[in-house]
Amino acid sequence: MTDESLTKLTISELAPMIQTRQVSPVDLVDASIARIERLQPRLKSFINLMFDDARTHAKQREQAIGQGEYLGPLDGIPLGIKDNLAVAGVPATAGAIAHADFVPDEDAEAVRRLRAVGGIVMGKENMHEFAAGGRSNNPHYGAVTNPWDAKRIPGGSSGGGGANVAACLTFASLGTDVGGSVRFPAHCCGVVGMKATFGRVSQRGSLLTWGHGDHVGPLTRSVRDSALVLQACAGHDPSDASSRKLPVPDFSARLGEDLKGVKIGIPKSFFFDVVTDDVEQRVNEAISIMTELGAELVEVDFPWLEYSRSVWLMMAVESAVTHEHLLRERRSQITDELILGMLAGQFIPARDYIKARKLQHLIKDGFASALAQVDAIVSPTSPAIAPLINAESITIKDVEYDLKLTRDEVLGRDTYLANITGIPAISLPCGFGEAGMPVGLQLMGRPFEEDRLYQIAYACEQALSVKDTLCPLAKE
Amino acid sequence: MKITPATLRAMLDEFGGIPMSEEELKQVTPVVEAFVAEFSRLGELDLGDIDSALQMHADDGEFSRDR
Repeated sequence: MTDESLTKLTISELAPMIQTRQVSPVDLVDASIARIERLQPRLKSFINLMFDDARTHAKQREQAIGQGEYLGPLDGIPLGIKDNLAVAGVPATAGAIAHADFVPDEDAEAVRRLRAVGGIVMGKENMHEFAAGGRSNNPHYGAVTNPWDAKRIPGGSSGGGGANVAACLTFASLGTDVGGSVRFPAHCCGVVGMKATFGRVSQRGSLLTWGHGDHVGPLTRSVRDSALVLQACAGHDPSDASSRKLPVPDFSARLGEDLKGVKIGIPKSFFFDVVTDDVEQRVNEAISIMTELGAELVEVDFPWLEYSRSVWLMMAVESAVTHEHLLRERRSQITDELILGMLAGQFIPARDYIKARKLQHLIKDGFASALAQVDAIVSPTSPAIAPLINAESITIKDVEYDLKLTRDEVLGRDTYLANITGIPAISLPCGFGEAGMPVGLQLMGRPFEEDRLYQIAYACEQALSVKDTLCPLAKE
Repeated sequence: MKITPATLRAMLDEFGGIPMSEEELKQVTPVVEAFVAEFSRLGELDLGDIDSALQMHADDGEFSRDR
């Protein structure tokens, strides 16, 4: 097997080969570096590369494994880290020039956990500026391109991670998801994105968080790999107030279980109200496959969602506060589009903010009621395939949606509800839509039951024909 | 509700907001208008007796614990 072909494998395929020393972490890292050097200029998927550190770490792991000190399935595996997550000694720009001089002195907790089990960080990945959008068309570090079609966005805000995993530059990426920023790039790039329950993964070292819905989560090329990476990241962090002190189950334990007796919730409204025909068709085909696998479909309804946009807009209010020092001192270094959204937040009355918080409670109750009836709720991850990089609007069912002024809201309408409710949600590829672009299927589950979501997602993945389909760039 | 740059200027000056140029105020006005219109829809709901979500964790509520 050539070095190049090694990069096309999944983590779960590679792990036993590394454990038994058939594959060297040094060779694997070198193969990853070769692909990054060749394709990064086209993808614009990294902001800072860490090749020297990666090679040093790989040599250490190779020596340790040779001495029988294998640390588990992530040992020796090349990973990417979104640039709003701290890696000690490396600038954490959050995709913003205004933040480029910040060099953290310790790893984000999730990064620390990945490195503790042998994960090798290849670099810091490009993203939408300040994680405040879904296009990753970063004006400072380059517009990340989609490895399926370079004219299209990779999604975002964790766009570099989605592109890197899909194009086989890395085997997994650690991203953040405040409204769909892991799941949307998974949808656009044809990979798996997991946002665990709020409190499952420490947020410590995640920069510029908006607090009420940010989550750290993995992008991978398979559901099994997603479970492995989340396993390494998850668990209580006493230094993070949002972290929950709960047992962490074996996320891989239910992989391979069938769907007999599993109840899948089909939303009566909202999630399928705004969706293109190609995306709806692929999602409906996946739902049919679930029933063939034994799942029972149950219609579920969610009150209050017609008002939910106001809960999402709380982010603008919070960002005006979170970024106040930058808005006062470094405004000329921030993109105008972002500034306007942040500045607008300062004019929202506290009365309206509190009302939105109360509505958030009602929406959470609505999801709780639905999830008392079913094991998971299914939806598209996003209403349409990845739009063109320079697209200013998108048309869905004859309605034109402005992508610029609305800050990508239509593309995130199916994902942000899992953030404001805190429930776990996963996106996995379920087929291809217009122009041969990937389509994501979203599954949302009960809090702290990620193992159940992985069971359902894995069963779908194994049955869907999209499994093992690599993007064109991955074959170069 | 019609909002004007002059209204926003007065709010900034009176409440000590983050300073903005006249051009920024002009550009941000339609964004604020859209925000306010969305929030004003919450007036249709009786939220008086509802607790804020700030008091909740993700697993509060009626979720089944039957595993």
